[in-house]
Amino acid sequence: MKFFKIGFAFKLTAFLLAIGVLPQLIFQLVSYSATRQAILDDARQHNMVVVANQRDYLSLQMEQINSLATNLASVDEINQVLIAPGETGQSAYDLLATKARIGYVLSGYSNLRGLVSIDLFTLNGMQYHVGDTLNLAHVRTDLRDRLMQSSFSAGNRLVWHGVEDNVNASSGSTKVVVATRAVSRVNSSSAAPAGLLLINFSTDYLHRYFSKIDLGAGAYLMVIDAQKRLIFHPNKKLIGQTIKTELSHLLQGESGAISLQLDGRDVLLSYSQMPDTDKNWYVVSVVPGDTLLAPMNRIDRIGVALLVFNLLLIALFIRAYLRHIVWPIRAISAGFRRFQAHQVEDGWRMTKQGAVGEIRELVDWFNSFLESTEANRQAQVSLRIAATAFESQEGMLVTDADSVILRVNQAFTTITGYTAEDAVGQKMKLLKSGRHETSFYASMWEMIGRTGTWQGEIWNRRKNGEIYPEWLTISSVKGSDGVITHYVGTMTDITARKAAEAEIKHLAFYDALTQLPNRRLLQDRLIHAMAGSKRGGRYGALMFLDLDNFKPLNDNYGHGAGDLLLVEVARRVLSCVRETDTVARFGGDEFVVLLGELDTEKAPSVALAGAIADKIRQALARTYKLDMPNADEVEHHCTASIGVVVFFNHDCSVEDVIKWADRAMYRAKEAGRNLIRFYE
Amino acid sequence: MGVVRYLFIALILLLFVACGESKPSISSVTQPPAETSKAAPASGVRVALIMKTLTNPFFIEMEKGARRAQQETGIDLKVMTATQETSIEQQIQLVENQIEEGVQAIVIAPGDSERLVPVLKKAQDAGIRVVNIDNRLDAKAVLANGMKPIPFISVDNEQAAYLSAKFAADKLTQPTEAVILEGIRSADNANQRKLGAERAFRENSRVRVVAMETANWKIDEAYLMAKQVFAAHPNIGLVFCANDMMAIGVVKYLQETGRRKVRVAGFDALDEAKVAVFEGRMTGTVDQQAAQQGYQGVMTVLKVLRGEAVPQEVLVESRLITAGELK
Repeated sequence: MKFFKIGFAFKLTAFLLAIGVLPQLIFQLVSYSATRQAILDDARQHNMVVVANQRDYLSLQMEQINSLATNLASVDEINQVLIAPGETGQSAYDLLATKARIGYVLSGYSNLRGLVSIDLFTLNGMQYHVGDTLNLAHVRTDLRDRLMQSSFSAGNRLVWHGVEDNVNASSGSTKVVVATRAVSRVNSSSAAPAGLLLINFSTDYLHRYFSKIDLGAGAYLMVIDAQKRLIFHPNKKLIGQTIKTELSHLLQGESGAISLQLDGRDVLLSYSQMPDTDKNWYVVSVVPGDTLLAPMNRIDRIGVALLVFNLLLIALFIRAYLRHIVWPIRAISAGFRRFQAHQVEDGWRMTKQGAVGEIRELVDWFNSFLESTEANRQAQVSLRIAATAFESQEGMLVTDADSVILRVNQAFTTITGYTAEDAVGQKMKLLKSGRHETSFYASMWEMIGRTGTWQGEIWNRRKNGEIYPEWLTISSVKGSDGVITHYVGTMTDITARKAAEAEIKHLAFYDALTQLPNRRLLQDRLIHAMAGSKRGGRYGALMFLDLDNFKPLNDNYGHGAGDLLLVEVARRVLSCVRETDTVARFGGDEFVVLLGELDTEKAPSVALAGAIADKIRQALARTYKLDMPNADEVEHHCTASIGVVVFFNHDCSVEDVIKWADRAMYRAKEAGRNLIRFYE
Repeated sequence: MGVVRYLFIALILLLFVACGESKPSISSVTQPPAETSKAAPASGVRVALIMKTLTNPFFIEMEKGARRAQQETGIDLKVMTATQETSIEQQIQLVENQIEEGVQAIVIAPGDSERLVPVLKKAQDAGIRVVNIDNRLDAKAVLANGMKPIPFISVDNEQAAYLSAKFAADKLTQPTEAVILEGIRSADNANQRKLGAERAFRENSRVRVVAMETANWKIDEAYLMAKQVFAAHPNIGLVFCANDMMAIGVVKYLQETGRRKVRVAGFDALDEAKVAVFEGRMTGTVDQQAAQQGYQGVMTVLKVLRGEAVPQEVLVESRLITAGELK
């Protein structure tokens, strides 16, 4: 699982990066480097041109100053003042007038833009000046002398000293570009210099000019003199400062371009030497790499944007892929794992969130798999319950729709005697007893077909041939299509119950000793007989019998003897009547005989009843030989007094009939016993 | 998603690493020197002081005063002069240049009271504040050109000239012929000084003005003019010069011709003139505190720039300098 988790997304990402981003990246890097080189080459050339242009401009300025100096040196007045005495040797007028005159001359030349001042120093200590200050009180003599010395040794030509302090300390321009020229007297035998023409050129003016040149953001120019001092630098405060030797060492030859880190920035440094080599001045341009490569920024931005876009696209794709495919698959496999570990709760279903297409189907199938699994499990539970229920005390059998037995339980075997092997495959009629008509079965099946169930008592036959009653319930089982697929029968052997019922019934309606119907049953039968008399239009008769000599037997031989006698009496009475007649023991030594369906006329009925009564009287009057257990046979003589009532229809009540018979019996007793009397 | 993010960052880093290169690393210059000057920090305000001539030491003093104001305020002060007092066109050109340069203010000692007005009007229109020192611009011309009022700093030229001339005339015991050597006639201060001298000479019954000439403030022209005037009026005993430069030119002539008795009154108190006064070659001169004028001029224009109210006219005190005072 772990491998799947990382591996899948990782591999896909790597693959997409390899086909999507890598080629782009390589292309970008290659084109970037090529473009960069082209731009740098271009910039290098461009900067060389810029530097050369500025060098030429500066050169032109210097050339102008050069010709100015040359012209001045040959001016008459100047030549004259070279021999003029020093300040002490002149009157105020001469001094002032000369100064004014030379001033006018110098002033005539001072209209060159950028010129700070023109000074003429004579060896006699005179200074003639025109410039940005009138105050000549503060002259830097050291500087003046140094400049003079170096200029005199160079002969009559203009010497460029580079950036120096202003000789005239009062001037507003403190740092100036200084050029000097030794001036010798014309028409003199000696060519030795007699004065120094000193021209200060404004670094401010150069600063203003060079500052206007736009080389791009952060780029700047420098002009460096032979002493490696800055004639121009965008930072005014640096003008006059010496550059570091590590930088000045780089300025070799007429021109060049170097890429380096200057003051912590990547720059392209281009330089060009001023043409007159003895000046050894350089015009330098410093252009930051950033500025040079500014056009690259756009390419960079587009490239990076593309890259980001690409990566974003891949990220989105991977995200979608994870969300819609990997995670759902992972969820499914997790689902199976849980399923395997039995951790899936019933009813839980996987959501299809994020899943698409086939994965969605997979989730569907997974869910339906869960569903059917759950259904199976539930069915199994039901089956187990059913199986347990099946093995109950009741006999059960299952048949198919054609009543072929498929299954029986143990109780079935116990009841019917058929084992499962015997029964399965047989039809249900195996159990048929033959006691029931075909119509019984027909109505039974009809009811099952109609209501789905039937129950009732039925007589069946055991394996051993014994016929027994059972309580049977048959239910049909229908499939989902409503067609009966099976029948289920449950049966209870009710033989014992039946017997018990019969026993109870017997006890209730029969005399336990004689097995004759008791008073209740008699009453019942009497009702029936009376009803039958009405129906049939025949007379019936009721006889009341009382043994005449019963008590002494009981007294002499005990109840056992009495009982034996009563049983014999019952037998003798029964033998005297028709099958359909009823003989009942009414209590003690009293018996009742019910004769039904005598005749339609009274007289014959009375005669018939009287005949039967007499037959009974004679039978009872015979000697009784009683086999006493553990004793000798007892002989007993006993007669019976019989009262008879003939009834018709039911113009009287049962009680009346019995009462009347009883009265008739008592009259027979009164009349001397062993007699028959009719109730009149 | 963690893997994707990781790869993304790795790619970006790769991109940057691929672009790096190693280069020599150096620095260009040492740090600039710390400011050692006591001057006020640079204010960025650019002021031009335009004066008349580079030949008259009077203007050196004026520059000194202006420089003092520069030191105090930290402004960027450009000082320039025309070549000669008569170089009015050059002075106009200087103003033009300063308009082009874009200075915020111009302090000007105009060589001519009228001819400078149009160009100064142009400067005002360009937003440049103008303060007038030394020689007053012609009020009518200023008005006629529609200029805004221009503050003026100077001395009472008429009164100072009167005092200088009066001092020279007062010592006279006999009737004396006098000459007045004027400055440039179209300059107001020249006119004022002439008027002052005339007033002084009128008041003195012994003085008779025989000539009034101009030497255009110049030393050499004065010398030549002296020659000319003395040739016409050999008995002149009193000369009033509207400035010391002319006085020195006249003295030169007097010395050359041995006229020791002629009294010469000057104006401006140049060192050279003071020497002459001390030695008795001149009767006196007027210290009009050129430095103060230069200083006040710059300070006033700065006030104007700050929008503060300034007086339309400031008169610097002038002082008559005589031999007695110098001793």
